[in-house]
Amino acid sequence: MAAGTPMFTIEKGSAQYRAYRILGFALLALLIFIVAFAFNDTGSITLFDNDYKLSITRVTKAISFMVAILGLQVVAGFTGQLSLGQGFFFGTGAYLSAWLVADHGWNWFATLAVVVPVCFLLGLLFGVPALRIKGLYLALVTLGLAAIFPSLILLDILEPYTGGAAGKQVDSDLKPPGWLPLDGTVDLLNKLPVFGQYFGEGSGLSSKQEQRVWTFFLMVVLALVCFKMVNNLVKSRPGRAMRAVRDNETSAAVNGISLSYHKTMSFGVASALGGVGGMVYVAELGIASQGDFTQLLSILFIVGLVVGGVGTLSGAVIGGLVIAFIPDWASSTRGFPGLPERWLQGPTGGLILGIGLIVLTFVLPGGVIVGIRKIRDRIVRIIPRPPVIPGQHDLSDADAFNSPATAATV
Amino acid sequence: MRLGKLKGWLVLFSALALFATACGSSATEVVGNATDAAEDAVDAGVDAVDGDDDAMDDDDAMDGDDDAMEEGDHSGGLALEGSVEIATGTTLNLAECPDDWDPLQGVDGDEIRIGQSLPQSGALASFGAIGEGMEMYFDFINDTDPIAGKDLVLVARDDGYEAGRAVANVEEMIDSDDIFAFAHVIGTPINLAIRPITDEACVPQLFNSSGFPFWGDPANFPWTVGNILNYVTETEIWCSSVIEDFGEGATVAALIMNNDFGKTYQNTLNSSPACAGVDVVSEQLHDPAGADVTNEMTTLIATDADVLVAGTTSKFCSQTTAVMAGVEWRPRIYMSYTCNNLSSFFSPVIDAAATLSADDAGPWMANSNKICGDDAYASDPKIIEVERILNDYGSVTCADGSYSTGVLYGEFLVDVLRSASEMEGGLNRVNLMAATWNADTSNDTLLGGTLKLDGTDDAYWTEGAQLQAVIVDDAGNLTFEPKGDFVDFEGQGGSFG
Repeated sequence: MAAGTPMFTIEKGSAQYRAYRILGFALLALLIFIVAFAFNDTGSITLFDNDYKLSITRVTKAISFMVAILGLQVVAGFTGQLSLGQGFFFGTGAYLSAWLVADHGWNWFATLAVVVPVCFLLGLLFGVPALRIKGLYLALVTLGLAAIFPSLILLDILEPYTGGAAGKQVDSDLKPPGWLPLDGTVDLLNKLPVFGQYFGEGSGLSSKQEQRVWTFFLMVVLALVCFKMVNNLVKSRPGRAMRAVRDNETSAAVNGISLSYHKTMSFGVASALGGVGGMVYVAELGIASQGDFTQLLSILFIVGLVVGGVGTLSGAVIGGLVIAFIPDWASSTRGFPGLPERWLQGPTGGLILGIGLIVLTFVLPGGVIVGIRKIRDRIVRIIPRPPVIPGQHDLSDADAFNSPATAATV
Repeated sequence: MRLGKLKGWLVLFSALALFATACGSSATEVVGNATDAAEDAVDAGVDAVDGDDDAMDDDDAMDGDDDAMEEGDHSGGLALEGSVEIATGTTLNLAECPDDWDPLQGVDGDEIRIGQSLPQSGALASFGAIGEGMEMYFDFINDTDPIAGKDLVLVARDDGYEAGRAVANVEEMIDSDDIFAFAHVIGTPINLAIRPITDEACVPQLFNSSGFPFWGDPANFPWTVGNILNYVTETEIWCSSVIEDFGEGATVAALIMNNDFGKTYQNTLNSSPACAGVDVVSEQLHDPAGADVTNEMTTLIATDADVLVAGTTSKFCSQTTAVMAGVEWRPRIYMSYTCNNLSSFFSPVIDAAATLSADDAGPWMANSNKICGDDAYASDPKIIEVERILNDYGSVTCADGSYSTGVLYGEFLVDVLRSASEMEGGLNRVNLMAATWNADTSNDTLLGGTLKLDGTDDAYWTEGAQLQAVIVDDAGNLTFEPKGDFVDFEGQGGSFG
C-alpha cells in the first residue's frame, strides 16, 4: 500500500457506505453497552503504580459535559463567538432541575420543559452584547457572567431555593423499571468466556448499581437526541449561515445573512444545551453546589472544546471525556519514572492538564478528533458522490469518467 | 472571527487559567458553611441536654452489653447485623446496609484503609497539606506502634472543593479502593454531598473538617461525626467575653462573609441567648469572591462600636488587619479561628499586626489547639514531637503549610481506631462507630479540655477554646497571647436539632 493511500475507499450513498454507517452505529451501541455493564463497579487502569479510575458515575458526568460543550460548538465552533459563560447556563440548568425535583417532586426529564426555555431565553438575552462587541471583549463579558454565578446562588432572596453554600441536595434517583433485566444481563455477561471477568464478580447488580446503569442509559439517549438535533441544525440553512458568520461577518452580511439573528440564536441554542447538561450533571451526582459552577468550569468547557476539536460534533464527545477524567487522573498521578516522589504531590492536577493542553496544541492543533480522523483516513476514505448533471454522464461512474468520450465532453 | 484565530485565543486563555488554578491560593484554614439550619442550631446549641437517666454507660457499649446487642451472628462484641444501639440515642440499622456490606472491609488484610476527599487543586489547594500531614503521621504510627499489627493507609483523592467531584471520588473509592472508613473530608458542601452515600453504604465518615452544626446528629446520621469547633460555640465564646469586658449593651460591628460560613456567625450574634446582651449596630456582608473588604470596613469604621467581629476567613483576615491598622478606631477585634495560621495570614501584614499589637488591639481568636509555628510553643514537647514527625516523614516544617493540622487530625483518628481494635470483636465498622460515639480522650496539642462524645447527649468533638490575641513580640515575631482562661463547653452542646 502506498503511503497516504487508504485501505478502503467508500463512496457516499453506496451500499458499502450504508454498511459502513451501520457498522459504526453498531460499534457505538456495543461500546455503550460494555461501558454500562463493565464500569457499574469501578474499574481502574494502573500505570507506573498510579491508579486511574473508570466508573460509570464519571462517564455520566462526562455526558453532561459533552452536552454543554456541544452547546459551545454551536456558539464558538460554528458561529465564531468566543463565549466563556457556558458554566453559567450549566449551573442554571442544574439548580433549576434540582429545585423542581427536590421541592416540587418533578421527574428529571420533565424539568427540561422549564430548563430548556429558561436557558434559551437567558442565552438570547446575554447574546445581545455579542452584537456590538467581539473577540476578547466578548470573552470578558461572558466570563463575567460565569464569575457571578456562585454569588448569585448565595443571594438571600434565592437561598431558600438554592440551599446557599451548602448546595441543593436531591434525593431522587432514577429507578429502572422492574421488567428491565439489568441484573440478569450482567450475570449473563459474567459467564462469557475470557471477557466475563470484566463484568463484575457474578453477584449481580445492587440496587445502587442498577440505578447507575439506568441513569447512564437514559442520559446517553438524551445526549444522542441533542447531538442529532445539533447535527441537523449545522447542516441546515441556518447552520450554513452560522458558519458564514464565523468565517467572515462582512461577507455573510453582504449575502443577506442577518448577523444579529444568527448570533443571538446561536447563544440561545448553546445556553439551552448548557442547561440540559446541568440537568444531567445533577441527576447523576445528586447535588447542585455553587462551588461546582465557578468560572473554572467555563474554562474547562473551553479546554474540552479545544482538545476535542473546535467546530466538530464528535469533538464534544472527546472534550467531555477529557474534562471529566483527565483532571482526576492528573491529580491521581503520584509518581512517574525519573521524577522525585514529592514532585507530583499536591496540586499538580491542573498543572499536568495545562502542560498537556500546550503539548496537544503543537502536536494536534485541530484537536484529538482531527488526529483520529487522520488515522481513520489511512484505513478508510469516504469520498463524496459527484453530482449528476442533467444531460451529462453520471460523474460517479469512474469508468465512464475516464473514457475518451467523457473526457472529450469535459 | 476566523476559526484559527479563535482557537489561538482559546488555547492561550485556557492554559493560563489552568496554570493559575494549579498554583492554588494561600488559604490554609478550614472553611465551613452553614445553611438556615444554623439558626436552629443556635437555638439548640446552648441548651445542655439532660440525658443522665437515659444515658448509656460507655462501658456497656464498649463491652458489648446485652442491651446493645439485639440480634445477629456475632461471636463476641457488638452485633454485626440487625439494629445495634452503640451509644445514647445512636443506633446503627445494619439491616438497611447493602447486601454486600462487610463490617471488616478495608481491615481484613494487613492494612487499615482510610479514604479522604480533599482539595488538592483550585482555590483551597493548600488544604491538601492536611492529607499529606495525615499520611506522615500514619507512616510514623506504622513504624512505631501499629494498630492491631496493621498498616494504616490513606487513600486521598482531589476534589478541588467541588461537591460533584467529591461524590464521584467517594463512590469510586467505596467501589474499588477497599475503604474501611472516610476521615477528615474537608468542607461543608463536600461533606453534605457525600453523607447520603456513606450513610447508604454504611461506611463511617469520621471527623468532618467543617464547623457546621449538622455533624452532631447521631440520631439520624450515626455514621457521621464532626471535628472542629462549632462556629456557634465560637461566637458564643466571643459574646461571653464582650459582655464580661464591656458590659451589657456593648456595641458590636460585624464584618460577615456572605456565605453560610459567615452567616452562622451572623445568626448566632442575632439569635443566641448567649449574645442577647450585645447590641449589633452594623452588619456588613462581603462577597466571598470579592477583591477586598475596604468598602464594608469603611461603613463599619463609621460606627465607632466597642467591638468588631470579623466572621470571615482567608485573605480577608489579612485585609481586615491591614485596614484596621490604618485608622484610628481601636475596637476589640474578634476574628474567626480559621484565620489562626500566623504564617499565612499575618506574616504578609506583619507591620499592620505590629501597629495593632502596639495599641493592644491585635485580633482575638478562640483557639482550641497550640499553633505549630507559634514561637510561644517552640519548646513545647508536643509541638517538638510534631515538628520531628513532619521532618522525619515528610521533610517539611510547620511553616510550610497545614501539615501539622494533618498530624493532629491523624491523632484523632488513630485514637478511635485503636479503641475499636481493643474492643471485643476487634476492628470493624460497628466497633469503630461505637468507639467514636463513646470516645473520651485528650490530646496534648489541645490547649485544654477533653475530646468526648456520648451519642445524642454529647455529639460534638471539639468544644473548648481559649481566647488569644495576635501580637508581635519584642523580637518582631508573630505569636498568640492568651486572653483569659480556657473555656470548656464539653458536653453542653447536646446534639443537632
